[in-house]
Amino acid sequence: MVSYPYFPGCALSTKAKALDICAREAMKSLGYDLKEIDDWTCCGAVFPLAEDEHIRLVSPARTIFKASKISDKLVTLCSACFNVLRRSQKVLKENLEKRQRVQNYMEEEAVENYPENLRVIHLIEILKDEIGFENLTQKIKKSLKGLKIAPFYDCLTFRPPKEMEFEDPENPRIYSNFVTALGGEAIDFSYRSECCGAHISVSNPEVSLECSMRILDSARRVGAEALLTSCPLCHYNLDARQKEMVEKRIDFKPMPVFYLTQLLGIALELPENLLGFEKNYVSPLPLLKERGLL
Amino acid sequence: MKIVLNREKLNSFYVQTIKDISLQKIMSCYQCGKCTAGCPVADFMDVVPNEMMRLVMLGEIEKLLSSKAIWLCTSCFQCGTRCPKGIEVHRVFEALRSIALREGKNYTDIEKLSEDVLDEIPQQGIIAGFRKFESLE
Amino acid sequence: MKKIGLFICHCGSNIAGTIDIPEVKKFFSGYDDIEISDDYKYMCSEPGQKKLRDAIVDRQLDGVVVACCSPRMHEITFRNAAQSAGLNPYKVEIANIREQCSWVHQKEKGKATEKAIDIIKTMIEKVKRDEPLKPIEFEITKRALVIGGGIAGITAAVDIANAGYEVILVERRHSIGGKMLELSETFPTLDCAQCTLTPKTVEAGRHPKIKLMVYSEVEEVKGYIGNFDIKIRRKASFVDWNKCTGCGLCQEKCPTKTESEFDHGLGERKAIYTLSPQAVPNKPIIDKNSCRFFREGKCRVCEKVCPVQAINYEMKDEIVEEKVGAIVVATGYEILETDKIPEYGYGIYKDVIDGLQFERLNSASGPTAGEIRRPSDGKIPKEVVFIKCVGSRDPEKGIPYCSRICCMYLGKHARLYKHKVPDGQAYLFYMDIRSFGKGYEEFIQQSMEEANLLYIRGRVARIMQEGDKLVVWGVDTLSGRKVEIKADMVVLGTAVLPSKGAAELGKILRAATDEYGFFSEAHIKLKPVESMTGGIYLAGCAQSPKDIPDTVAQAGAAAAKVLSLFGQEKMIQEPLIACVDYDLCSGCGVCVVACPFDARMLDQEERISIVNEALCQGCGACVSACPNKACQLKNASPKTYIAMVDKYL
Ligand SMILES: Cc1cc2nc3c(=O)[nH]c(=O)nc-3n(C[C@H](O)[C@H](O)[C@H](O)COP(=O)(O)OP(=O)(O)OC[C@H]3O[C@@H](n4cnc5c(N)ncnc54)[C@H](O)[C@@H]3O)c2cc1C
Ligand code: SF4
Ligand code: SF4
Ligand code: SF4
Ligand code: SF4
Ligand code: SF4
Repeated sequence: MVSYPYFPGCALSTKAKALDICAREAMKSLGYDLKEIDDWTCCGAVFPLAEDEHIRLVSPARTIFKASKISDKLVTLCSACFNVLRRSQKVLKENLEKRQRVQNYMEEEAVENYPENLRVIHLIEILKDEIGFENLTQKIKKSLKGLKIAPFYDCLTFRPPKEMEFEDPENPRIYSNFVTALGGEAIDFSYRSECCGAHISVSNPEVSLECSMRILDSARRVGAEALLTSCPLCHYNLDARQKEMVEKRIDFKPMPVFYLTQLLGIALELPENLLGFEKNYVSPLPLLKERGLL
Repeated sequence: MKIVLNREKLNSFYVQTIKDISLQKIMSCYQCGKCTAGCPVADFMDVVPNEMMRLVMLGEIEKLLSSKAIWLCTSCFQCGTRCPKGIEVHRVFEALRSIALREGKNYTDIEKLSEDVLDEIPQQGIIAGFRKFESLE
Repeated sequence: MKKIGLFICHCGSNIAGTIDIPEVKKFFSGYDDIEISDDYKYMCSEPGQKKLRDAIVDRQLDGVVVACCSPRMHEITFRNAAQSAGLNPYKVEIANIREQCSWVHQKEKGKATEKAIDIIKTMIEKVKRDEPLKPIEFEITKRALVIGGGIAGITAAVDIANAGYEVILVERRHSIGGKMLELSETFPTLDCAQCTLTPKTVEAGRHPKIKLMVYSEVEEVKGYIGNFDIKIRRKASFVDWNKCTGCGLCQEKCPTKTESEFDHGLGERKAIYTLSPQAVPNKPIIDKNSCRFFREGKCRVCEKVCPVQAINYEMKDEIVEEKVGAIVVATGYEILETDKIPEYGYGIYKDVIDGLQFERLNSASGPTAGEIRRPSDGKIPKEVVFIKCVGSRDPEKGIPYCSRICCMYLGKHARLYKHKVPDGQAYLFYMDIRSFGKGYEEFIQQSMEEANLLYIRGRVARIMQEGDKLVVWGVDTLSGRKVEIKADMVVLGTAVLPSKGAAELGKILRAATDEYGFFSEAHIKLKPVESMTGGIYLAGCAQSPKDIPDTVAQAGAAAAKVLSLFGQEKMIQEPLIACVDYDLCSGCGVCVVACPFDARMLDQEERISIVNEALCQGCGACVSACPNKACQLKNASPKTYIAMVDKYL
């Protein structure tokens, strides 16, 4: 069993529990123990874009220190946490002046002992780089054969590419390859990397509703039966808000939106109570039952 | 309405602050509009991203601080990813938001949000939507 | 006692404004060995030069120091003046008191004057020790090598050959013509590219003074201006071109089809093929990578059908050695492969094509016989989007410079498209319209009006395939609105880059290339067709992106440079080169290794090192390498320099 420090973050501990529970269980069955970091604090949810906001780097720096005591990798799953922690690590690693400023708010010796080698990774990177998608295919218990899944590439995991150093956001493949590895049929759709509207659901809900609806429509046009995401905020916009979409447009047909780990859980035959489907607004159960996947 | 230009305006405190907070080379913008062309919310903006860049160049900052556009930007980073001059347009938007917030201009009214929404929307969305409270420090 | 004349130039106020010239003049009147100390407002002017000439004659001077601007500017002027007055030109030295003194010390006038005196003092020491020298003369090989057989190379070759000199024209592909061979109709007159080009290619092919070497590349270049030794690799074509009559039977019968590079992937060709129907020479090659015989060991169909037994599967590459006196580099360009701009989906979406592909679609000899049909399904596109500056003016993903031709050719494409599809609509996304040439702006304006082209100011962010449409997301910055077009086909005006291998060829030639791989000119304004290396000239897109008129003009200029070299009886070279003190030389050979110009060799019998005067550039590498102080530069011996430094200290 390989053990890695794991940062679930606020959303996964509460509103997006579905993303979290099956992550831990599924990874366990693949030989990985995700150890929640003790006493963690929120990553800040938004990477500070203003040059003079140093204080927002303190919480990520603390988390990175905690993780570095256990391993040279820190596993995240929520796109926002991944974005904030990965970018924070990059800037703290490369910008000594910033590191110095952050030092003022820290007990640890951030300047001398900064854990430069720690890599903040996304859970999908374990599946892709450590286990390998090909091996994953061998390891799953149930193939998602025939399930037409449209992988959605959220903004925060891929952009800005120079800071995230993840995959080219103009032509991302990673989730498609993941779906294929699970035996499903990955559907590429035009809006696969367009923004869902993100947090403007708070201030301008009509606008983000429009953004999200375009994404679902685009996936539907090319025959997708469900969407895949790894971001709790995208999930909220794309799944929970289908309630409003149905009201707004009579011809709107709801479409289930899976979390990355829910699909993994199904393929690994985790018990249904661990898949957290009660957290999905559009229930995937009818689709899964119809295909004999549950 | 005509725009009056002079040195003071082009190098105003606001303009300097935007440059300092965003760290972006505003004057290198081509005005090619690629940022706008890919922006998911440009359709709804009163000032689209390349116009925002232009108005910063012209020192027309007040107009931007009272625009709806700066609050519509979702920080999706499309603009910065594709700008041929490597300008992180999203950081310029953030600088404008920061200035507005630091001057106490609120945009989102927390009272108006329904319980339902607050219940369902993940924390990251609420924090991002309300980052002003943090920024006021 | 020497008789040295000192002439101090005011250079208007450039020098006199900072340096106290009367003071300097006074300092040197009566100074050791100074016969005359004089000054003038502009020494380089005719009256200034006359002063110098008169003094040489009247005062019987045996050396001259001119205190003025950099020797790069007027050393030659004053040396010529001295020679006409009967003084050996190498007894004239420049004391640079402008660039190295007055310009840089404008705020410290007193100190500048002192420094000027010091500079002059040291140069007096040099002149005292200078030997009279004679320029070196050597023979010129009056044959030229032209590398690259595009319109630039062809033009230069024909011009040189018409003057009566032999030319070797080396072309990498198996036909000359370059990119122009692939074009359909050309701006600004919309005349057929082939009709303009073929008379030229045919002339080059038939010219008795031009030796065509297609399917060949330059592999080694030794020597220097006037005398280059060249090795050229002639690649194995597997067809004996002496026997081949160009009947085309082999191409017809060859069973193997593959993607045609000439049609940029839009059409097919055989494994044995000529580049195009208008190829010069009209001889085929076998492409080893696709030929069934080379891949599987079976076939030999072409061998069977060839009526003259020209096929030879055993053929090997051949190295040909040539001697030439001048080289014209005309290696042309390449266009950016747009996988660097993935948001446009080039390479993924079939109907997103580049400019050269559009030329092939529009070409009567192209894959669609000149009908505009889109690659995916052969339908005639009714909504076509043209995008400018793709990869150009994009320091992030492409190159920062402007490619200079795409504004014009996309305007041309849109207009040609409208000629063929009158009910279609063309949209052009642009950042600026650069129509600088003669008749160009008129061409663009006329296209907008007559062909109803819609120019939209803004870049495109993204193209996505939706069904059989390409959804183009652009912007119209003039109205401040996002623009969406559901297009049937998209044409990208991609960046112009140097041809593949240009930088490597630059190394072989010892001619500098810039950061992108374009050949560097010696001076952007005054020497635009000379490379930084003597005897090597530049033509066409090898130097920078340009259109055909500019390419042809530059090629003509390069040819003229070659001819003015060949017009000289003998090569004259500065005698300021290395020499060897044979008493000190031990024949160790360190200098032979040190010399970057291959100008040194050992005389095995005498066991001393000798200098090849034609090759030596006077760089001084051997001087610093020689452990015995036997290598010296003429008029720049260590002793002289020590005396100069002593004087200063
Ligand atoms: C889509 C498009 C449309 C255009 N339309 C027009 C137009 O309408 N009007 C106009 O004026 N211009 C037009 N141009 C520009 C025109 O193509 C160029 O100006 C012209 O081809 C330049 O000629 P060149 O000889 O310098 O280069 P090239 O045509 O590129 O020729 C260079 C030659 O050198 C050969 N070569 C390269 N390296 C080596 C080597 N190492 N050894 C031996 N040989 C080598 C190449 O194989 C090639 O044959 C267009 C360009 C494009 C891309
Ligand atoms: S993409 Fe960049 S250069 Fe173009 S308008 Fe936007 S900020 Fe300016
Ligand atoms: S970061 Fe803001 S301005 Fe930039 S593309 Fe996204 S929403 Fe538009
Ligand atoms: S051997 Fe056969 S495949 Fe090869 S070129 Fe000749 S005919 Fe074509
Ligand atoms: S068949 Fe023979 S003669 Fe005819 S083109 Fe081919 S090689 Fe030449
Ligand atoms: S010529 Fe026109 S299209 Fe080409 S790079 Fe320059 S401005 Fe852009």
